[in-house]
Amino acid sequence: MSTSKSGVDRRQFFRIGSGAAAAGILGARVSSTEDPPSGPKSRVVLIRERHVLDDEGRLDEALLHDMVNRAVQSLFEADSPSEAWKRVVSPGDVVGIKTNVWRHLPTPPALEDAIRSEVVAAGVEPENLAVDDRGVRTNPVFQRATALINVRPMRTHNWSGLGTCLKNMIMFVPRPPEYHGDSCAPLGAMWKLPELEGKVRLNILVMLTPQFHGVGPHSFSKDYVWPYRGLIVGIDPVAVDATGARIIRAKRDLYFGEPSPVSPPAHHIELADSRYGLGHAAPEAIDLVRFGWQEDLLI
Amino acid sequence: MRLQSLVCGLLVAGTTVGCGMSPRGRGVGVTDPGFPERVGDWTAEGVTETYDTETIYDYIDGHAEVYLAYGMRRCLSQRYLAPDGKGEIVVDLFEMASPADAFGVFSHDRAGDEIAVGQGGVYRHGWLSFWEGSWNGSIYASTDGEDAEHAVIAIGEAVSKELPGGGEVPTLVNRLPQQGLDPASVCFLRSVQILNAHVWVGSDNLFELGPETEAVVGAYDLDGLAIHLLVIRYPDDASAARAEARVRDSAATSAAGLPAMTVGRAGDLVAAMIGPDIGEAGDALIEQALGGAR
Repeated sequence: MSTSKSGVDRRQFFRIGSGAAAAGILGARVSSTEDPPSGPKSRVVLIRERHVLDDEGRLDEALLHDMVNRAVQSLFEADSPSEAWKRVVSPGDVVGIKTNVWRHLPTPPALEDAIRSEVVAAGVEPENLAVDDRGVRTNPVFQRATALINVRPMRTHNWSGLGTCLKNMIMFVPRPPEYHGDSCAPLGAMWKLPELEGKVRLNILVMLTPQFHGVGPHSFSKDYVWPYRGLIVGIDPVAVDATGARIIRAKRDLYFGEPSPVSPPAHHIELADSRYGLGHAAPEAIDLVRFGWQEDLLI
Repeated sequence: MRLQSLVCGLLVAGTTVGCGMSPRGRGVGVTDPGFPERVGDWTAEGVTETYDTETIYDYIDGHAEVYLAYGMRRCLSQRYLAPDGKGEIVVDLFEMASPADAFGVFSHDRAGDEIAVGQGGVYRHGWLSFWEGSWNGSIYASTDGEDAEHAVIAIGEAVSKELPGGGEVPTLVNRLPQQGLDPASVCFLRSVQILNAHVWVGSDNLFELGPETEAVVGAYDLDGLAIHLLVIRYPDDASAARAEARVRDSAATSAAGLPAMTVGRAGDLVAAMIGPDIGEAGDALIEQALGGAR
């Protein structure tokens, strides 16, 4: 075709791409998860309890404590919760519990207290234990921490797609924006920093009232959280986040009535697997154990 | 549905919505907008907070990058409390790099009901978003109810009138052919990460978007086929040619990782139709978008 009436020469147009780029969880275009998983599967425990929240959203703190204990016990396939917690931490450890203080959807203080009490019961000296979020870089306990427990609620995030356990550790870096490029694709790299590598013993993604969509600069609307009443617990942060991401995706599809991948895609989860080797993102590489309330499980 | 515009003095829930302006929020600079002390029964609480490009991360964790991608200069924030103290409205005014950028950040998320606030506004679920001049406004109510909804809109109207206006919707928007276009999908942008939130074009900055470029993307339904059209204006013809060459080179080396797209260039403009190959119809769409380019 020659130059058209508009003066634009269509012969100059060119077509690229097959459009067949792999669509992973949440629509991310990462091809590596097409590869079969290698090594043992990552065990992830999803526990839910209908009555952990009442109809007004009030939390049953004792039941929540019981939930995290049962999840940790199952995760380690231990005979009791106390035995399981002793596999998470040892009396000689200095333990930092990395929480999340985002005002709209913080880590429940009751959950922080439950973890704290179990860590102390496992033999860790109270002075060797701290709970923190924004202050982890200057917190003296975190500065000498030998073990970290990572606990945060799941939510959508305007830059990374999802606020995940992987992303929760960003407060350990001096300049978080340095990890914001390409929808936070490099987040897995920070887990290789000395402050983190080999120290994170447990990841807990709080799914009590996860947020599946955001509006406005504060990225929050109470219309987009729902009482899922669950916790996702694992050692592998990638597997934990990938499991949570599948639930969020299912909820979005259900709510919006059409395929509704998180935007931007939370590809930092898959890249934490394929690029940084932090764990498994593919469902077939995850041994998902489901406990408790099964209604509207979404996974 | 188009919501009816409210004006100061409107009767809301049996009370008069007064919009008493005050020096609140003024004093930081000569062009600082003011916030009303009171709107109906809602009263301003505390001081007007100001955030810059560093402190904004502490204030709006998770969304700061969106505003920074549009050249945010600062954010002024004011809270309002309900008479019973149980409800809160948060007003955030973002000063952007230009009116085009203020429109851009508004266009990034404009699902909702159109409303006549500022130079363009939408309202949804207790949240009002609008733009006026180089400013983008966000007004969010943490509580449900008609009173809160009306207060949000009334505050928006009062605040927007205090903002220095000027500027228009970027002319590049007019390059998107109208047939099949979803008007609510049109987004003006300068960042590949913003673009990827609307349509994925790959992890690399394939089109070399940046502060010196301007781009517009829109979603189309063409006989049941969903496609996106992207139009980018570069600072000059040579920059556009370099970007076009980069796209060609990337296609040759990593086409499997890229979405399917048809690309064309004319002068300082590059247009890409992203989606399934629709043959002549796609070519025509690009041709229209590039038509008359210098």
